[in-house]
Amino acid sequence: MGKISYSLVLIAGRFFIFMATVIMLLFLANLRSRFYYHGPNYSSLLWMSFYCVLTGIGLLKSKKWAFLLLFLPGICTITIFIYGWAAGARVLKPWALVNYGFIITLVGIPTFMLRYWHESRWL
Amino acid sequence: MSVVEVLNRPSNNVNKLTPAQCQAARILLQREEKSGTTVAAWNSAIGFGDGTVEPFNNSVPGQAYVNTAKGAVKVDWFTDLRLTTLVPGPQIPAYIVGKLTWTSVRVATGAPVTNYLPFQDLVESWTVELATSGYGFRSLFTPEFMKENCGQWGR
Repeated sequence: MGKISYSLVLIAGRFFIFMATVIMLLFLANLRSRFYYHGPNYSSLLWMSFYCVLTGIGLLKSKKWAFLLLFLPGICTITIFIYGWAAGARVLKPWALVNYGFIITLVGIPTFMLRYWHESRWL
Repeated sequence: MSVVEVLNRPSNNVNKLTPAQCQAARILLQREEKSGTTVAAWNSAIGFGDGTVEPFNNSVPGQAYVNTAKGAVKVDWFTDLRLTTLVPGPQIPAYIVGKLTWTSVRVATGAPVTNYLPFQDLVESWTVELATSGYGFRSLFTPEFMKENCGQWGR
């Protein structure tokens, strides 16, 4: 069980580092667009990249705080969905099922990885 | 509403192309012909490229939907999704993450939001479907479409 969880943690850590790189490249492309073509400011990409690199390094080093950070995208997504639903937003099937699948994935994977919680440390 | 109904949406809900949109479509087609759809999208996207797609910016009142040969489409979203088509597969998660980020930034800054959730807007869903299926700008702006809708602005 521990070995499976550990490999999953490594995969997740590497995935987050990869996503941090992709998002940072998007941010740099946006920076170029802003400087040369007066493009819109997508500085939120920089914060998303920082989040990914922090979570990725934390996972690769088996830190408890990284496991908690993993829940952040799911919490943010659920908050936006609740806000949208409260504002009257509705999504028809089959697209609604895609959204539900996305939320379940965002919450399910971090929950599954909590099995490795006791083998990780805070610092 | 089904995709067929979206495609057959009454024309008063979908504006005809403006001269600026015709010019932008012509540039998109030229770039696609020279370098392929993905590179054309990178070079033209709002916020990532030179903003050629700006006349199709769906945040601007009156140009949320654009008439194309494939029906009503959000060309700016189509362009952004085609950024990710170097490899097949990531278009749908990229759209969902992009849409949720867009909504949260708009809400946080107090900007008006007409559709909050991914796939809430059927035209946007149709746009995702087109981008995921590998359609290019040449599928949206066919020579017949350009001739009919852009006249002297066409190719």
